[in-house]
Amino acid sequence: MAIKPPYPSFTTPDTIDDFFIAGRNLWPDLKDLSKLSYERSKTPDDVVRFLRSTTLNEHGVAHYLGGYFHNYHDDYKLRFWSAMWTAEEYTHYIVLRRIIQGLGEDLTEADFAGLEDGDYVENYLAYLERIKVDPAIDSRMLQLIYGVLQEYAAVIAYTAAAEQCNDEGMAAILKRVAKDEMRHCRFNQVALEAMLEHCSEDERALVWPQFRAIWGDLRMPTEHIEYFSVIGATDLYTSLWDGEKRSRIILYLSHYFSQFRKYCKTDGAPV
Amino acid sequence: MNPDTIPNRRTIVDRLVTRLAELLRLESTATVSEESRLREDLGVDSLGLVDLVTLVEEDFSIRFATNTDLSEIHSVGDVAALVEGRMRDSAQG
Repeated sequence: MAIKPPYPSFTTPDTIDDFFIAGRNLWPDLKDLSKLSYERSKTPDDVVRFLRSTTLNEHGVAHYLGGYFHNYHDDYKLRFWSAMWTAEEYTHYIVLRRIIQGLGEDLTEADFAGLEDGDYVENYLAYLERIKVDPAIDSRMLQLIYGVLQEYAAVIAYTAAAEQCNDEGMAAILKRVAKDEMRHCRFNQVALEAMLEHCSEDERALVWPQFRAIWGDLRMPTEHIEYFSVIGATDLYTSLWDGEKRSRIILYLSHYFSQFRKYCKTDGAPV
Repeated sequence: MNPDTIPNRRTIVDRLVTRLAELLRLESTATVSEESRLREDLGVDSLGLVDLVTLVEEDFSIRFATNTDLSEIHSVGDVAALVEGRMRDSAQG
C-alpha cells in the first residue's frame, strides 16, 4: 500500500479553531463546589469506586499529554489543543476530588504514589504501535481515532454515574463533566475529518479498520496508566455500563465511523 | 419507505443468515438459523455487534435509533424483528 510519509507539511486547518474558544470558563462555580457535602450511605459503592478511580485518572492526564505530544509531532494546533485538553481534564480532577472529599472517600498518598510509579508514555506508545493496522498510518490520525473512542467512553461513563449516584446535585455536576467530554469527542471528530481532506485514498481507507482494531482491544485507561491494574480499576470506563449504555456506545461509534467505510477497498464484511 | 415493500420476516431472516455467514466467514449458512444465539452460538462479541449493526443498516437501508437497546437482542430472530420494526417505523414516517 502506497502511503505518503507521515507528518506532511500540512497543518490542521482552521476548522478546529472554535474549540480553542469553547470551553473557557465552564466552571465559574468551582470554588463553591468545596462547600458541597454528600451522604455516603446514599451513594452506591460502584459509583464511589468509579468516582475515586476517575478522579485519579483525571489527575494522571499529564501522562497522557506526553504520548499525545509525541503523536501530534510538529502539528502545533493539535499540540496546543492537547495542552488545553489536559487543563480541562485537570479541572475535572479538581471537581471530582471535591465530590469524593464530600463523600469522605478522598484519595490517599498511596494512590498518588502508585499513579506516578510507571512508564506511561512508553506503555501508551507501545500499545498504539501494537494496535496499528498499517505501519505507515499517520500517528495523528491514530491518536484522533483513539480520541473519539476515549472521549465518548468517558461521556457514557459520567452519564451512567450521574444516573446512578442518587443525588441530584452530584448528578448535575457529573452531567456537566459528560458535556465537556462530548465536546472533546467532537474535537477529535472535527480534526480527524479535516485531516482526511488532505489525505490520500489509501490513508482514508485506514480509518474504519483502525477504529475496529481499537474498539476490539479497548482497555482504557490502562493503555496510559499502569496503576489501574494494581488497584483493580481496569474497568474504570465500563464498570457502570448497563445494556442500554453499552448499546449506546456501540450505536454511536458504529454510526460515526461507518461513514469512512466507503474508503475501504473491500465491499463485503467490515474488515 | 413504502409499507408494501417491506419484506416479510422469512425474507429478512434469510438475508440476515446470508450476511451473518459472510460476516463470520462461515463456510455455509447451514449453521445459522433464526434461533441461533448471537453470542453463544455465533460468537458475536461487542466488536461483532459493531459490524452487525453496520451491515444490517446498510443492507436494509435503515438506521437504528441511538436509544435502541441491543442488550435485548439475543438471537438472529431478535435482529430480524428489530429490522422489521425499524422498517415499519420508517414507512410510517
